[in-house]
Amino acid sequence: MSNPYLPPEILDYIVDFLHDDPDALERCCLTSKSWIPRTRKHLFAEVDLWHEDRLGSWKKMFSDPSTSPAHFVRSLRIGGACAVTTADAEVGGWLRGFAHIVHLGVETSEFYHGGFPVSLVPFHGFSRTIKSLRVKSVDLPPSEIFDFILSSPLLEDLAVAGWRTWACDMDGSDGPPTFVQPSNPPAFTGSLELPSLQRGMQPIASRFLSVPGGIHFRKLTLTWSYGEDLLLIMALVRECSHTLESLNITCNVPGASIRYLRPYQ
Amino acid sequence: MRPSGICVRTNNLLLFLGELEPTSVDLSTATRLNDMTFRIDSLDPKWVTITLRTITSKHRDLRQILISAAYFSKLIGFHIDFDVRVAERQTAGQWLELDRLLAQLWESHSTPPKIMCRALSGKEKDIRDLMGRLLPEVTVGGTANLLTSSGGGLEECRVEVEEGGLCENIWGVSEVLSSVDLTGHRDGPLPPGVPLTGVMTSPP
Repeated sequence: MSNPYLPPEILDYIVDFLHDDPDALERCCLTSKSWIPRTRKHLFAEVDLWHEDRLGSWKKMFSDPSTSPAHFVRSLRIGGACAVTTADAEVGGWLRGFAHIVHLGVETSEFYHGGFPVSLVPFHGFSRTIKSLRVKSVDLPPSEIFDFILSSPLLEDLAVAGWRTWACDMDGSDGPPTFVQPSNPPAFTGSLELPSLQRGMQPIASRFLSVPGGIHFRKLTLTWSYGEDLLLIMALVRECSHTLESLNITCNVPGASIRYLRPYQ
Repeated sequence: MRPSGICVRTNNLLLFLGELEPTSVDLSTATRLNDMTFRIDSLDPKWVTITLRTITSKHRDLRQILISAAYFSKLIGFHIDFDVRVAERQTAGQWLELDRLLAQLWESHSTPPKIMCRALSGKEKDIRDLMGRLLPEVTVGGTANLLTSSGGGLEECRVEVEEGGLCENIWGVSEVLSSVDLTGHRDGPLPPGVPLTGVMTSPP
């Protein structure tokens, strides 16, 4: 008796039903080699390399980028960006395998690592399909983060959080927001989330206000933590006023009141 | 209301010069707005009132106005009754002003405001009573959506507490932590690396 034959499209259809059942997907992987690509599509749709040991495990397990399942990944979280080097982003580097990322989350918690400054440059343009980006940086200069943002042409939804010691930017030594117009910058039409945590949102927000071509976000989630934040919120809303559909503002200024603005008169 | 000052961009700082009237966000040209959320984690709600005054009849898509009274939720959560009374006395007039405006918007735009506050177990009545006094028109008879932690449908939120995170940070996101038992950690740092999963509620 011959093996029953099912067209690949039907098999794919069946596997797709199991997209949220990793145990079943793993068993499918062991059933037949022909099932592997479709199951990997779901098994590796979301990858979390939040800790450096996970990143190390990934690099060890999939040392050959050409056979890595990285190209199945649609959502990637990377923590400890200090562990990512420029070499990783070059041809043959593991990072290049993640070429079809749609959602990316990056967190950096150090400014220096191993004597070298942490940089987001390796991430520039490593995936041209990113639509959603969350960056949490403790110490990176806003200019570095913004260059990263500008390198993602399809970017729609954006969240930036976590600055703490951007003193260099507050006194201007990080430089004014000067833009080298990228060949294909994002349109800034989705959502923007700026939770002001430590030093206010000023360093990043002022860059959005200076983007050539303007910003056209449909959703703004903003936090007013310092006096100047309100002025920036006003400016961001004004810039997006013709496209804005959803607005979420949190005010957590201690004892906040309009009077808080008086130093700016 | 637009600021009457002159906006000058110098370096990457925004400075306002000249006379500055009470200022808030101008929504008059944002006529495609369909939902707004204002989380008042401060004493004074006046900035919300001034912002909402810029809503006009051209905002035909407006579907939701949600006010989160986070500051009072915290005060009541901390059982600081004296501070609650003082804060209520100091700001009652501003809350009543906001209340009247919300009621007007409800009538003019058919948009019943949702008032959201978080209360730890056993404090729901306190926060409901307080909101009833501060926002009497929109909460009268329970016709407005006054939400507390014991409300209806569920929306899961995840909050990760980093190592050494202080309780102060937790209360910064108290809206999503209202169902988490913080007994024993109220006054000090939480155990390091504790991942907390809070469950917040939304209207049924």
